[in-house]
Amino acid sequence: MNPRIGMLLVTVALLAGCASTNIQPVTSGAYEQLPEEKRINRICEEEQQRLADSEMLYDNAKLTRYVNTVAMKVLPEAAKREVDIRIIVINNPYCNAFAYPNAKVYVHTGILARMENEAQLATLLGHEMAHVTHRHTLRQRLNMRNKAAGLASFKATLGSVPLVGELSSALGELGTMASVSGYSRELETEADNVGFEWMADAGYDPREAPKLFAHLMAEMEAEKREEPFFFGSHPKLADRQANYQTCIAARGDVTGGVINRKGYEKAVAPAIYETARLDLKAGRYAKAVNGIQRYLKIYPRSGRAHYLLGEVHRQRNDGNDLKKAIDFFNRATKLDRKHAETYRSMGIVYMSAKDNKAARRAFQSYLKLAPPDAMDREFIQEYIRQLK
Amino acid sequence: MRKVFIGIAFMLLLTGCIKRPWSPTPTAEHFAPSQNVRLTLPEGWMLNSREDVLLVTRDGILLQNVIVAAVHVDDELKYTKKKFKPGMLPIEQAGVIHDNMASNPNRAAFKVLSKKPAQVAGHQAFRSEVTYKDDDGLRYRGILYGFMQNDWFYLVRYMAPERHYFARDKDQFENIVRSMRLVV
Repeated sequence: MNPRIGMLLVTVALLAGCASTNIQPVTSGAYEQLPEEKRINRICEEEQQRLADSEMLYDNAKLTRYVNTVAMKVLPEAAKREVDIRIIVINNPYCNAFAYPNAKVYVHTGILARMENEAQLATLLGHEMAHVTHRHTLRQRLNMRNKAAGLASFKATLGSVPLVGELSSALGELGTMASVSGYSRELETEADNVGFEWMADAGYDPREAPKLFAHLMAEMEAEKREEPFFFGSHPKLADRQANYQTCIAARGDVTGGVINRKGYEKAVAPAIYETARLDLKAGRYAKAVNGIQRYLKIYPRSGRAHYLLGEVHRQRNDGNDLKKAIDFFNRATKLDRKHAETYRSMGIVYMSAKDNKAARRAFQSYLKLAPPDAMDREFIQEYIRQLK
Repeated sequence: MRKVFIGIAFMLLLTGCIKRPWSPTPTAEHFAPSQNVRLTLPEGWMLNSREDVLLVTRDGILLQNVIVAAVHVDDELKYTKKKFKPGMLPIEQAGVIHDNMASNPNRAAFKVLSKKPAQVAGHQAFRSEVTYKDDDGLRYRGILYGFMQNDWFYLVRYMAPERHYFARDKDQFENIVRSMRLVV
């Protein structure tokens, strides 16, 4: 054979990614784990252990139970027989979710805090679980023409993208692919289509599926596209929204499905609060305010949410922020008289404003309420001495 | 050949490949103009005095490092969007610097272990101890001192792996802090 023709055939075969075309979903009836898949799963377990050791998992049994219940509603019976899906919540304020091929799906508190209802959660989980059941990691890896280069680029992405926050230090090769790099356009579209059918078949309102992208896209723009893979890459957000609209049109009558906004908000309220707290740490004040206000709609009489809102104003300290901070702290103390940190923050504001009497009173309340080993105790004692 | 050599050296300078060298710590008091401080450094350590930070280590920066930095209130911090403001109390300054460290994506499990009032160079300051894990899961422990003078926040920080190194060089760090004074 002419060597040039030989080279051309090899190139065409590589470009076509022919190795992956025979990989069937786990529900195909002829599912058998390949040796490569077993190897991938071993890597998954190592990476997941590292994640567990990183102290970044969100320890809230009620919330974890809720997201797993929704996942089980969405996943078809045939898939349940083949894979043991588990949803795990990660304490991270960025909007992201990703699936490992060994059926562990990780969802950030950040995305739970931003979604509006259970139907949107069902869309998200459907998408991620479809990556598992349709063996996308395996297909993507078999399609990689140069594995070494591919792996190197994952690590490079890991090092340079702060999008997943603290998590980036704990993610390995597969986690980075799933959470930051994402899959090919074809595989993402397949996951969208399959996930959509599942959520709709489970009785959720299909019209909520594209909304998942709509309001998150608005947030991404406000944050100058800080969000990682799930909402930021292949295929582009607008294309994915359009794809969901096509799915809705193809399904015909889509009225009357479950949305469950109230139940969802109640279930994810702790994640909303936690995300607002982390946003405040990162100085993302507007996001923190949005989160707290949303939490206050669910629990309007929450003292600690009013305290957190006061903290946003105290720490931002622009214009009349300090006055607003005191207003929120006052409301917080009326709702929860025993929340020591509120008095500490009030004292700091009064001390900065040179209102020594009010500062001393607030600090004394803090000392009364705070535990004996409270970290700020020595500071506050010192400030009381200075105020005298 | 000479022209080629000069050309390569010029290119390296342009691309920033030639960095300021490390030098042994001086026996006399050291003046760091960029940080506006004078301080006594331990003998036998290495010093790298840069525009943004004064860096000192004995065995290499991964095994122990001391940094001294001066941050202007208009400067942006690396990991949090919060900023220092003139007149902030030390307890507030500690909050900003801790939140900056907590928002660093390359560190996991960041925790503040203690936070206390202190005095540095005649200024009211804070002293805190923190811990975190790096990319490889190695736990580091550190001590931070911070204070403000007008529009500048001064940070003196010691960081070392928790096991063995942290305790070994801690006293040397405390000596550095005690020796520190502002020039202006």
